[in-house]
Amino acid sequence: MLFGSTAAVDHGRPPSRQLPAWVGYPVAVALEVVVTAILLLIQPYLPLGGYPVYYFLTTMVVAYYFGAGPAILAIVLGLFVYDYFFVPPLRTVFPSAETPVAWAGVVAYIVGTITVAVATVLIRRSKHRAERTADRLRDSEERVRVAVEAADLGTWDLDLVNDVAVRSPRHDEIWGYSEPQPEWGLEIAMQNVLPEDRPLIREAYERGIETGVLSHENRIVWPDGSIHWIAANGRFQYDSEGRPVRVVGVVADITERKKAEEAVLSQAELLLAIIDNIPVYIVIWDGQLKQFQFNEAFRRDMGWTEADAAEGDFMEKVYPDPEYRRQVEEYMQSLQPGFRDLKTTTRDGREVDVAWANVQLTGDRSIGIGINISDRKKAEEERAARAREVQDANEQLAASNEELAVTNEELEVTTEELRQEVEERNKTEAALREEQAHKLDFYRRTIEAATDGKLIVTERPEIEKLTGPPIASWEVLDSGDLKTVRHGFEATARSVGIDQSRLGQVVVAVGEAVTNAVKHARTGEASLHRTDGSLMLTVSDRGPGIPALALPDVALRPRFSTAGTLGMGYKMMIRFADRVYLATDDEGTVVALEFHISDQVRS
Amino acid sequence: MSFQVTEDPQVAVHAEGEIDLSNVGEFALALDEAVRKSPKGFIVDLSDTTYIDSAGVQAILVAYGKVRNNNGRIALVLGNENIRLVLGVANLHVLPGMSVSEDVDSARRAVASEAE
Repeated sequence: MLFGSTAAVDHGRPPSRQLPAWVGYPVAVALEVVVTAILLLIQPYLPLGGYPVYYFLTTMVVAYYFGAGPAILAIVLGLFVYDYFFVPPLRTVFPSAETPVAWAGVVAYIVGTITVAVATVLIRRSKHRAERTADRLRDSEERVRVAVEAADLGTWDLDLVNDVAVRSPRHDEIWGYSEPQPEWGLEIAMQNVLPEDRPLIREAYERGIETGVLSHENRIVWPDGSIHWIAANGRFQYDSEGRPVRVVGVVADITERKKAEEAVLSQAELLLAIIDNIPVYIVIWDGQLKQFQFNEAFRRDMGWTEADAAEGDFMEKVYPDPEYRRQVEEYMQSLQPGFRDLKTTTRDGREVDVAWANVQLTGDRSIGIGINISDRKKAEEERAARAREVQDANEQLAASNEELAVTNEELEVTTEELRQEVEERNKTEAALREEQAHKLDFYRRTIEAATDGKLIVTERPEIEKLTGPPIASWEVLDSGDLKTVRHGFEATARSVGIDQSRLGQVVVAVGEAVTNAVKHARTGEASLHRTDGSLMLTVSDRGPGIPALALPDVALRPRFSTAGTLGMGYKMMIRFADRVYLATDDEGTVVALEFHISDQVRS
Repeated sequence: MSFQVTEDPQVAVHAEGEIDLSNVGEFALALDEAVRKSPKGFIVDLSDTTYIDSAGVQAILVAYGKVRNNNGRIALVLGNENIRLVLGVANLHVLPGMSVSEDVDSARRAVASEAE
């Protein structure tokens, strides 16, 4: 039984021990002799009638075990023996009878033995045929079993009316159960199917009822939660009214196959992605150069499509020159190793330099791998052009070197002249600076003498040494601050004992100093210092300063001003202060007014 | 600080307070107005002026130049000794057509005599 859940399977039948056919003939003779001898021996003591019957049995035995040939021999031999020993007149070799009864016995023998022999031979043949059929059935079942085991299939037989399935142990193992399940049917199976795959199975059954064939692949969930793929195939059986009543089929675990398919698909996708994204050209062609396939880089850069290649002679489109095309075709079909630089024509008629390599694929197909070397070619051409330019330049340089040698001599002379000229100029400038320093020193001395020592032109650090730290200071941002500085100074001066009668003049001098800062530098800073016996007001600004050579005019000439004003500021400062210190350069001007605290009013 | 131009009958510029770089522009405008009103001369009353610097002196000299073009006169009225010293540095008192008075009446007379 093929589809039994627990049926033990006969793994083989020992071969029949059949005797050779020729053995039947001597056996038939021997049996005839033995039967006749026995009958002759017991005849005197036990008179029996119906002797043909014993020959019937003998013929039947021979016919059953040895077939038609020995049976015929037994019949013929038996006829002679029976007639010789038991049909009167006795001891006649050929059949003869004295009486009708004797003749009846002979006829009964002939008819009976033939009938028994024929019947027995027929039975024997029928038995042999049944045995052969059983053998073939066993063989067939064995082959199916071996195939099922080899294919690692589970078998099942589903009663659709009662939804009960008989399965092989492997069936339940495939569904994730190590032990056979007590009950199984379509509904139970569906509970083990991944929910999203259940509609597939229902559709397969609906389709199978119409076609008679069931086939589906789906995922199932094992009791441990893992997901597996199965493939089920079966055939429907119907009742007399055409209603499906049974499905018999097999089931296989195809998880590994699915994984392999997914891996292959993934690899194929990866390969396609690489082919379509790699920045090289890939072209596949057949041995006759009639069918072409391109990758995306080739389509994009060259403009050709498979449709273009299918129309007309594609090689002629890409390599229009016949001689060049012939060389290319030879190269493509020769499959020589290495790259060859070819000028490949694009769809819009441009020529692109491509280095192609050919690889033989299975069948008569080949693959060409191309690298766009236009940039490299261009660089090579530019390099060659540059090399030519360099060579030309070198030649020109060689020619120029001789001229330069002459020019260098001339330049050496000129350089010496220039050096002497620069040296002369430096001497002149140094002399001028020295002269200006002398002049400035002269001006200082003159100013100091002309003002009776009241205006001293000095340097900034000298003033800082004289003043010391301030006791008050004011920031002068515009003319509005002038009054603040004057009044602030006046209050301080009064508090430290400046002669009251002189205070107004002192304030005028201070006002002029601060006014100069606003007038010439817009802003300035005033600070008040106390020294031994004196008050000193320092006003500094970051204006352009007073040119050294203009100092005598500023200090001495009436109504002279570098700002275009009246120019009486310094005269008033000189007049009303006891001493004026002035330091000025292009970074600004510092004026310090010294007032002796004990001085009397000046008239 | 305030500057007023009056006519009583002579034109006079009365300056009160301190004259320095911050307000000398207003002082110069008042002097210009006086020049327009009386090109031949007017009074500059500094009797209530407490401070004047070189910028104020320059404004007076500019107005003086304009009046002198008409052979006119400016009569200064000085009340503060410090003002006198400052103007003295510029030697204003020695300029022709420039007189210095102790009071306004003297100044009026000086201007009137120039007008005659």
